[in-house]
Amino acid sequence: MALLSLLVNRALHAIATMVVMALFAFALMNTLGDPVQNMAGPEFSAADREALRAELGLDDPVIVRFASFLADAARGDLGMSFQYRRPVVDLLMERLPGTLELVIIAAGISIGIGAAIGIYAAVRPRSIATRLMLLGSLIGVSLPTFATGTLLIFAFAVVLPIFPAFGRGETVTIGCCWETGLLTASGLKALVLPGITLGLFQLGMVLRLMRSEMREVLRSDFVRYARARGLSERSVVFVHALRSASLPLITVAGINLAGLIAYSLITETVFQWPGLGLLFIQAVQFADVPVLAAYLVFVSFLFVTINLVVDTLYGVVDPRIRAGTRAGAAG
Amino acid sequence: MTDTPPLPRAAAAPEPSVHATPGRLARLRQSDFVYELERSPGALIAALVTLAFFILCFGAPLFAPHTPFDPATVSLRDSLLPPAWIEGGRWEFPLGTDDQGRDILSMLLYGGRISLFVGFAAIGLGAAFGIAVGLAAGWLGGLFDSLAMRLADIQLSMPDVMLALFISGIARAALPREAHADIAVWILVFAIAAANWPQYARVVRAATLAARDLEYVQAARVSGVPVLSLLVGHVLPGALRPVLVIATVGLAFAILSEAALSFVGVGMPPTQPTLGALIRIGNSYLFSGEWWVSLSPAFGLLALVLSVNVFGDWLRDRLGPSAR
Repeated sequence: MALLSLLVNRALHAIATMVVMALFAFALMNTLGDPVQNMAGPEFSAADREALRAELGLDDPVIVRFASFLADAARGDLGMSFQYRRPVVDLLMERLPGTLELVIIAAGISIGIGAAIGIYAAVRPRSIATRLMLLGSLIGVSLPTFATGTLLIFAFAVVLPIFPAFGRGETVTIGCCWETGLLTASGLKALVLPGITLGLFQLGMVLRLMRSEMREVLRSDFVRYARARGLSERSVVFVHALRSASLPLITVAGINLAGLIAYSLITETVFQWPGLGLLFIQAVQFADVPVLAAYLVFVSFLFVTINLVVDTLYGVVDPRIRAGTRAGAAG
Repeated sequence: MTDTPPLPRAAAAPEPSVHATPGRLARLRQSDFVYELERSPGALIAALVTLAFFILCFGAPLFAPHTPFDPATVSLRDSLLPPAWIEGGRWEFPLGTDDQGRDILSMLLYGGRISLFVGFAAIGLGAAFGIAVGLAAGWLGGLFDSLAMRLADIQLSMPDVMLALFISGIARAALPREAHADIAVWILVFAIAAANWPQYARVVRAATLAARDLEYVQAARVSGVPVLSLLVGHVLPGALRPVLVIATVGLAFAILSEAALSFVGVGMPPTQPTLGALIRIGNSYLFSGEWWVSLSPAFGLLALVLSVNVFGDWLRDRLGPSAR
């Protein structure tokens, strides 16, 4: 039951967060910037401006606009982009596959490789390889995503032209609207550099957390007992220690995913990757408020969902939380 | 949380006579802080590199070989020269020049100055606001506490680069276009500070809650110390240690955030490029072979952030067992 109440509690928090974000997004839409100024060139007459204003629905009173904002948002209509003059939701949906594919590849790289190196570093803390990899991870954490991207482009697209430096390559449409780059050779090739760039940033974090977690567990009594029972080192490390050390990895994976979505903004700019991030950056530069607001709602929805899933998983996996003692709760 | 190790004492016992008191520098040299720093070479190197960056960048007008933003001293004939050690480069321009003939090294120093300024100002502003909110939340409790902490929670669930981007995007939309260039620095400072304050607020709130019922605070309270000076003079000092640790690590993040924002083109205007903007500008020359325009600032940024991070790690291990 404790799990259920935890879940309800978290869900209420999530809803509260979303309400705050929606209010904020509406306030943003409602108060900021005159889009007509942004869109209309000097050749526009006053009548043209009025027509544009009416077309974008900017004449209506505030209350009407708020009501229609909520109603529309519930139907999945988040307004029209000032810049593209197309429904924002269409734009988001068009760009979503690109970002998701990039983020999933990067998550695989950062969690898979990061955890593997972290375990190695914990098991052999004094080896030279460990020291080198730790130094490398510090560089990875310090090296901003865009600098990694620049270096990788220079090395593998300019000096050794193996991979493309920008774009998604050829894409194939699956079903009604999912444009994937995973099914063509050029699409996969185009994923390599951005995937590594994005993954590398989080890899250092996963590595360091996994290492410290694993070291902690390897020092604990039950591991010593497992060794004393004469179990092989392999079974001690990979069966006993890894199971409890990977618990925090769930939280880390959640933070990791959120971080990847955030930093995909920059990776997409470096590689001119037509995803959500590039759309958002262009919206910032253009002061395209509807896109900003929709992106805010969309991304906070993603983050709230990720947090909720992580909390739930944590409750399911960690018996201390399930039992209602909050000793194991991380946050 | 409460039993933090004692503050670093000056190792040398102060002489009773006023005249024989060792100078500030001598005392610093004999402190535990410097003693331990000298015994961890990585941290020492990092501290020195960081210090060198500070001195070189803030003293850019003194150290830079050229004034890159003065059109009178720039000649297009010197454009896109490679670094001096490569054939065709000249020692006059140690790291080469960009497309307008500006000296890359000088641009790095001037750009680094803005980067460092934004980093420090953002950390200062974010910490000040966070500390104020944390003190108020911890002391007052109640509705203010839950509202402020809920807001902090919401904010912390979003990565700070994204938040800073949002804020600068909103600022761009809210302010007239002509004003952008003049206040770009302050938009950046504000955006990064706004993304950072919850960390300070949380730590300070926790420390305030812990200190509120301690005897010395109660004693100060009943002896009539005004609330503000009670908070600043008696409660806050106990929280400064974790704040310092967060601020050091945060400085690296702030510099990175600024670079990221400038890199994607929503930071400083092109007339005052920071390290991030320099990398952005240089990227377009990558394909035509002029790699130094973009890789020099990239390595500069890496060296700066790496050394701040290494020093910050060391400081954290040393100062804050609770922050680990």
